[in-house]
Amino acid sequence: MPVDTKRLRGPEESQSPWLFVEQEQQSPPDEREDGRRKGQVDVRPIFARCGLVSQAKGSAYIESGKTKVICSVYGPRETERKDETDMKFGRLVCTFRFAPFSCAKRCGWIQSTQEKDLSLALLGSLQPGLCLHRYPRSQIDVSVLVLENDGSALAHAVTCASLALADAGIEMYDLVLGCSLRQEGSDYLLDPTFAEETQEPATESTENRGGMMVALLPSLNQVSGLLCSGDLEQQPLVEAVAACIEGCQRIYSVAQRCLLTAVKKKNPPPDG
Amino acid sequence: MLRRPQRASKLHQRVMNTNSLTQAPWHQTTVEPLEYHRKFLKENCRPDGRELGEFRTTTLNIGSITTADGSALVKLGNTTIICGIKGELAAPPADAPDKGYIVPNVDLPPLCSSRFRPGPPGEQAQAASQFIADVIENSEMLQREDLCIEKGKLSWVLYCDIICLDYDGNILDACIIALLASMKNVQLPEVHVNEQTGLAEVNMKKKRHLNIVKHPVAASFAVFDNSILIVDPTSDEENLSTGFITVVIDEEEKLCTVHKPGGTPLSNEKLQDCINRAITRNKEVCKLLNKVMKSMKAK
Repeated sequence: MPVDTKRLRGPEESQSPWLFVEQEQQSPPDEREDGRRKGQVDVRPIFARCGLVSQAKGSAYIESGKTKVICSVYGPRETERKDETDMKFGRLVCTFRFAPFSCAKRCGWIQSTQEKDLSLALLGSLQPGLCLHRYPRSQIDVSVLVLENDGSALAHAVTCASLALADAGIEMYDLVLGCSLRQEGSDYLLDPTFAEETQEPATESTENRGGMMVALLPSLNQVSGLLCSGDLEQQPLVEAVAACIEGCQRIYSVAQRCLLTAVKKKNPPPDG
Repeated sequence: MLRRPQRASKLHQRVMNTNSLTQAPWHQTTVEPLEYHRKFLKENCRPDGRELGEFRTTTLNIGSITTADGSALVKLGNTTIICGIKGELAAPPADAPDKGYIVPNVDLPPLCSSRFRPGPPGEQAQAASQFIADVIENSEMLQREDLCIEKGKLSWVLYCDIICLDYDGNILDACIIALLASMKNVQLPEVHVNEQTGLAEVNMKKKRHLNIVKHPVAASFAVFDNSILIVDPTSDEENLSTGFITVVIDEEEKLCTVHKPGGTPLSNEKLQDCINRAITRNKEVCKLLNKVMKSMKAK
């Protein structure tokens, strides 16, 4: 681990107290903890608000269960590196970060490889939705910060980023909404919490266990991003994708309402 | 003179009307920002309607991040700061075996303002982190001995991670309030060291709060045109000012820290003025903090 000379450092090594708690071996519960059903398209209720960051061109904040994600968009502005300026298309730069206190185990300040990987996934999911040919020689910066991670961080980051881009007035073909899923054996858990994402399996078999994230353009009904990990057979995989798409469609109305409120606030209708 | 704020709206209205700035404020603010501010300062008020000695509306939200042991979100006008504290276990330092660690870090990500670029923390963030560390040590708000579990073997490390979500000036004040509020919110589990195995045993069900003895509160001032002092500068006012000073006072009206990084020299009277205003600010913030903590306990 590179030594971070620019930050105040504590001890060389420190451990989370959770490592020393006696873990009771619990088999995964039959019912989901928050009352949602397995094998059904049940997403957590979402609270979304645009225009929170006064300094940013566009911003959005999403709360879904305990997961809290905030995103700011700056741009279009001049590209930072002249050799990367594209004459025909704009550049989209995405940064995805977890706050150090967002996970049960403290993350460091330096961007880990997982965060870099998720930044690229975010970039890939958002790019098809933007009209980048309208912003040649420019750069659009999207910064996402996860304040609290209770599962489906990347999916909500995708939704949050596209709301922020819309709030910033960047031209888009459609919003990009994300939804994730966890497959356990024959059941799937839509919009899993952190505990559900990381729980130990009930049986020894590794069949049909994995996670998936789908990014969808709802009115065009096109998938712009699909990340899948684990071991899934063909039939469950197809069903999982369909479930995620259905989950995204459920979120669409909330996203639309949020943007409508934001626009009305910025441009109040004339009186009389 | 920095007085307690009264309603400044009438003065503000007069300045806005006489200068017909309501017609084209955008041109004034970008082309000649200094002149724009000076017009308001002549009438002893500021472009956003505040008096010279008035702080922006402060809102506080405690305990919203459940993955952190203690958290607080502070909004000072538009400036938004979130502080999350996580406690971890480590061996105490070799030179102080009966003390724990407190590690504050301030981050100014590109999220909060277009002036910050991604990458390692810049000068401002590093200076802010060091300032917070100094305040914690000088004010003795928390005894480091309280963080020790077993002398020489195990102690707590409190990582105080402060992130700015919206940069509109005066982050130092907001960071101190956020830190204080989240420290009061922290609940650490009970830890025993098992004598036979030498390992720690953590009981998550029994949690207790930290013992915060002092409540330091900061008040920041910007110096305009080498003579006028304004409290709680916004980002525009910070860019135009010729000097800064931050005074940290605890609730017993004792001075913890005075931070004056260069800039216009200040006379004795002006410094005393700042200290007096900081004392009243401490009372305001402590009252707000107590109100929020009480409403949380009521839930």
